Amino acid sequence: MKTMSLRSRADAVTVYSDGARMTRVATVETQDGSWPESVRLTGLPLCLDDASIATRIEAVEDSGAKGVDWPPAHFELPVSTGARVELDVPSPNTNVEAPDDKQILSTQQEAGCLKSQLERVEQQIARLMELQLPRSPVGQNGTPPRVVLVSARLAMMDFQAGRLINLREERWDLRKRLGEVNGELKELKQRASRAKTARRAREEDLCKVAVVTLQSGPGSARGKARIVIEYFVPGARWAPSYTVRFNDAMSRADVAVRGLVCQNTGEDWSNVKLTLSTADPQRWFDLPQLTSLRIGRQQAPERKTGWRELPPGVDELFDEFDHVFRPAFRRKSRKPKPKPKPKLSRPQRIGVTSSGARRLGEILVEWGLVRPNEVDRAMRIGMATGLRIGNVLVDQHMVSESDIAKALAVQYDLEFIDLNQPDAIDRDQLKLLPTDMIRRHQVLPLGKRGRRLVVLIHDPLDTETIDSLRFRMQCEIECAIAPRRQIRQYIDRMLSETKASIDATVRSMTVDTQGRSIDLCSETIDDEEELMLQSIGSGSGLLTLTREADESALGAELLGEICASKGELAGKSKLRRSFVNDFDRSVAAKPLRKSSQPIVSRQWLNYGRLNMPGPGDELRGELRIAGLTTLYTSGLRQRADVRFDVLDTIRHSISRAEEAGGRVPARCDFASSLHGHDYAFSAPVRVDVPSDGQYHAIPLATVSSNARLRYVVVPRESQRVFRFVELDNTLTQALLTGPVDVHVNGEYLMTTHMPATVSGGVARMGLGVEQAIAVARNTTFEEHRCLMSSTIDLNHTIDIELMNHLNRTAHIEVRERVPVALETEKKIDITITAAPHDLAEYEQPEHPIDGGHQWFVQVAAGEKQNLKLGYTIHMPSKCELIEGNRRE
Amino acid sequence: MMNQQTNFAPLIAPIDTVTMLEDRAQVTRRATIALLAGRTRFAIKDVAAVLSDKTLDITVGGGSSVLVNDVRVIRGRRKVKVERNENLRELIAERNRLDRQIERVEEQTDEARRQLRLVEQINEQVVAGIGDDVYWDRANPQQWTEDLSLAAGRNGELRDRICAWNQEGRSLDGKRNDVARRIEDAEQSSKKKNNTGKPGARIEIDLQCDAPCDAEIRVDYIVPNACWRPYHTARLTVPSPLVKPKQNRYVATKDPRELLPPAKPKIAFACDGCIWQNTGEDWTNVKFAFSTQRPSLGTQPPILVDDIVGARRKSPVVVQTREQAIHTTGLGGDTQAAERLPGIDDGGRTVNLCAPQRADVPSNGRPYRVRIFEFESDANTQLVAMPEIAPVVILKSELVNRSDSPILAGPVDLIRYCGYSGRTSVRHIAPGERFEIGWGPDDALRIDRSCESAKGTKPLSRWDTTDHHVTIKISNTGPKEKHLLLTERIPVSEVEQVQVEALSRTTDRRKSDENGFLNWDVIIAPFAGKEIHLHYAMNKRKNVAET
Repeated sequence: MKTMSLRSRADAVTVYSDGARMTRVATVETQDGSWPESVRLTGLPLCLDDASIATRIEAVEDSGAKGVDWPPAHFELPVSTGARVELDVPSPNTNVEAPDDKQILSTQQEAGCLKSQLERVEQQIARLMELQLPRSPVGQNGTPPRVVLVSARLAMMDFQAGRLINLREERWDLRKRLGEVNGELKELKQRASRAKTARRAREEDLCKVAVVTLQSGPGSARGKARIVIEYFVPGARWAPSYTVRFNDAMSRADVAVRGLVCQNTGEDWSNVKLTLSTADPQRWFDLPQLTSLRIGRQQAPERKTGWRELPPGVDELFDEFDHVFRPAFRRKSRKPKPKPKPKLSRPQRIGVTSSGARRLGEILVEWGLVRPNEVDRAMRIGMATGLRIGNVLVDQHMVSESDIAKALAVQYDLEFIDLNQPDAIDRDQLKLLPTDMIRRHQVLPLGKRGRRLVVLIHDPLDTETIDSLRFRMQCEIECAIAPRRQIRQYIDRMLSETKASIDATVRSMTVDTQGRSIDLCSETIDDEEELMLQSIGSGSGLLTLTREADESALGAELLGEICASKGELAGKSKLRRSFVNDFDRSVAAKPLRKSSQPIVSRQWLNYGRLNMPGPGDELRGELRIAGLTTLYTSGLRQRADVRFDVLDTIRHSISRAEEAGGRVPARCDFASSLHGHDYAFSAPVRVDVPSDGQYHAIPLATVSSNARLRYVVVPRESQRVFRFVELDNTLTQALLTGPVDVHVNGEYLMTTHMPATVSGGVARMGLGVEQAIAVARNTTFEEHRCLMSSTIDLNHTIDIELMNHLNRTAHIEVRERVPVALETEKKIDITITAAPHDLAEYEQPEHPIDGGHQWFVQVAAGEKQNLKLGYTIHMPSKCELIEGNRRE
Repeated sequence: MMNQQTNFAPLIAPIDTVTMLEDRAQVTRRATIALLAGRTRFAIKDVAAVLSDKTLDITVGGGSSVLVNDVRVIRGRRKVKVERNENLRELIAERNRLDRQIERVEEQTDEARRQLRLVEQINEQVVAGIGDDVYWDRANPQQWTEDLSLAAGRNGELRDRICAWNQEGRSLDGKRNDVARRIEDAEQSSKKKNNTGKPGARIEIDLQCDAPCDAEIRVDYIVPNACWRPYHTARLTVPSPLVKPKQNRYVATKDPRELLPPAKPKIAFACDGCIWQNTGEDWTNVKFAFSTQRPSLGTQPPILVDDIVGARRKSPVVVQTREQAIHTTGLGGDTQAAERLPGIDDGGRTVNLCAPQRADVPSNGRPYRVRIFEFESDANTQLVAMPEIAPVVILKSELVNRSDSPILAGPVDLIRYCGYSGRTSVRHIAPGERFEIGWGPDDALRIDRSCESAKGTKPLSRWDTTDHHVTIKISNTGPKEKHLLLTERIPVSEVEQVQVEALSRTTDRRKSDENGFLNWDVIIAPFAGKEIHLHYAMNKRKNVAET
């Protein structure tokens, strides 16, 4: 048997930070002792990622074969050798059978006959109604008229009435039958039209199908197998949320973790094992090849092996075919290809006769730099390796690069410029070309000659570069020649100078008064973030930035350095980290040279999609990638009548899936990595998540843990005491950031925020201000002049009073700060003179500070406690502190 | 052209062997034929029209000397079949017949309509006559009813007949339209067929021999529009997938990813030739040979050149960081998209492979796989991570090419136990060479790599120092313990002006090997995470410029 269509059911889903991996299961059975050659798993969502499909085949125990040794001796699972995605619509509704044409015709005929008969009856009735009594007899010429024959008239009347009754009866019958037949006909016609449209595919019915090819061993097989198929769907999201129920004393808590899951992939997840992961969805990666990173003197890049260019000359094999069947095509394609040289010698000065007929080798021989046999040898090597003769000669150290450049200049009658001369180039002219182009193409602008731009280039035959310059600058290009090495060194020097000057500016900015520099930096950093995004998107975005930042344009590395140095001031930001990361990588993996070997992209390695066009096709002779539409619709068209753009439908489905959950629930942060680590949560039971783009709460875990109520006060900034609850994370996973509904003693208290907490760590959740603890802070200040050493002591004392009005002991954390001297300021000395014994340094996670201190006190119910902190600033008496000597 | 087949006896010479090249194919047809003395002319029909005449070669073997007078290719479009025309004639006859029928029906309907009019007049007269009868006292309702019924009966009959004829006329009209359309189609298609029949060709052979003999004729030619590429399949299995647990029941091992350590996995590696052809001739029951030989490339060895050494004044040291491959197993990268599928590199030596079994490849341009060889090798599987290149943990398997032929660069379909799990690619692998295959990322393991660097300059020193700190965070989001090998690298300096050293703050105080690699064996518990730190310092003399 060839192909079997199977319905699959959703089995498991892993939702990532964006997107999900679905697992569906179908059961396949052997028929007539063999497995099907392929199975079609229907009903998959349109938005699935075709490249992500993976299959697995598992044995299924046959429950019907109890007592039989299972599996049987010859039991062998099939092997799935591949999976591809096609489009499908549900097979047309077989209940709607197109009515026979004859049936419709005969019904039509019957209706026509009935109508005609009805017409006849109507006519007869009308005729009969016209029947009048005969006129009264008139006597003829004096004879008396005959008597009115009443009986005959009455007989006529009776006849008319009776006949009319019969005819009306017949009419009624005919009408009734006509109505019936008409109804029948109408129904038949409707059925016919329904049957016609049933073949037409409806857009909403379109779905994807995975065609899994199976290979089974020789011999007959019997049994059942489970086909497991996994694929990725975009747009599914999730976010954690919590409910914490405290007891009255807030010493124990029940923590319930929920996952809010949302998807609009077009397929309902019903009865699935759900796993929620904070990780990004994983895509396919080939095995990476880590190479050793060597720092050494410059060397030519190594050549790699693997693939090679296609052999030339396949076109010639079509000659005879074209001669007979495609004379027009033959004429077109047989046009002699323009020889490279005349075309390439375009950048010449007008009015100067070209000596292009002379060969480079001849010039070099004439100059006595090489011997003719060496030139011949170099030409042979050049032909074998595809290199130019000049390059070959330089590679073999027969002539210097500079000599080749000079010879090229003579050959094409161009100007030779020695960059070792101090003022070979007018620096002001360097702005004529953007730096990215200078860097990329290794050319230097020399100036304008009329409307033409003169550039310094090492190879005047490099039309690619010249064309791209012409395109970018929108003007004709004229060339001058210099050795490649000199050009490169010049460019490097130029860029490192601009870099250094920027470094200096950045440094000068940072040593400015502190406050200003931070302002300045934060502003520019914002700008730069934007620009960085641009520069990632396109190289040209960078250009606009750097022009604003400095007169001379800068490169991307430079941007990285500014960013890194400013970042030290402005604290960590994720973006910066990623950028520095990239920057670092770009430095580490600097020699991104173009390999001369072709590298094959993955799409070309999907051989199933490659096609050989027919000999009459324009693109014959080489393999081509079949288009998506052909791929998708080739099978579909046979099954149904498709009258819409399937690619558009798929695109729409993907965008709909990706827009799901656009409205993030209030206060919900999306699952983010916790300090670089990733976590996954599994739902304990199977769940349903319909495809409606709405958030559905899924219970994930419930755990009971210890809690402690704590108070924090920062009396210097505010007299309010903040309540915190410290919750031990007894889950095996981390607690992620998310909203927490806090209940105390069964009553809802408030919603607060869960901080990210590793397993075994302590989560601190803020519960707002506690009114029952009062804090007072008073300061004293005195200056004490030391006459002997001509110094001055600034004595500060801070008195803090804590009053606990609660009916239980309060654990209070008090935070204070002590001034810190500037690092460069050697004359100022600050000492703490009076302090509680448990005073500890305080490191503020939100904003790092140097002079932070904290101490923990326990204040019993209804009691008062005093804390005292004193410090002295010791400095020369002739100095005073900026912003005043009194610091409190 | 094609129908001038006079004097040429048809010769059935089926395709015996096709040698596939990178962008063309060489086709060999064979036939044995009894030749009479004198001149004999044969034609091999239905040959690919794209065949290149220059490459056509005929060899005649046999007892006596046979002379080949002439071989040529005659091309033409394949004729539209003659049945078509007969069909058309039939259709036209049918149309004429239908036309006559329709006319007849129309005549009969007209006649019935005329009669109906008369019957209606009779009915009128009968009704009018009733009045006269009453006037003259001849009331006879019986007679009236009879008369009227008679007229009504005829009336109904006529009407039925008209209806039926109308219906028949309509159906005949439909049939006629149908036939007319078919005639039009047939006419058009026959016109089209005459112009654009499928291109075809035949080979005409003119032989001369002195005495009657049995000659073996072999015709070789090259066709474009056909090519092959290697296509491999690797299947990761365990030697005995069915283990017998206690309850006297067999359970199939589900997934090799969950293999227990003692079970050593095996990989069955199969190399197929993937053939595409759209030459116009179907290849049925053909022996396939695959070659990387390039007819248009020279076979001369490369030319050796002098390495002339010269001295010059010392220039400032320009160093360069370069990637140096240490162990090339070669895997296709994903960086540059080629605009077309490149040719196969045979590693310098022409490779000729033969498919052991005959196969069919129809001429439709679609890929067909033909098995070339297969082998089985023990596989060492391991989870590896090289976060600098890819932030993933990949299942790697190491195996040996145990066949006599090299594995050529191409895609590899990956099958884990029974399931298709993805596609990777290999580069050229010589016989007996050890190579690696990646089986895709492990979904449960996640890696995050961040790198920070700080530049420091000591005022009096001639060295610039850059401290690098690489942090790698590995998370296991799955319920199973995982064991993986993590590899990082630091640059290796080949010049004394640059020095690189791993610092002791590095996790496990790991030191790099001579190639700069550092390895960590990491075991991660379920739902846990681990951090690996790598610190290294790069010291650079101030006069060193980096490119």
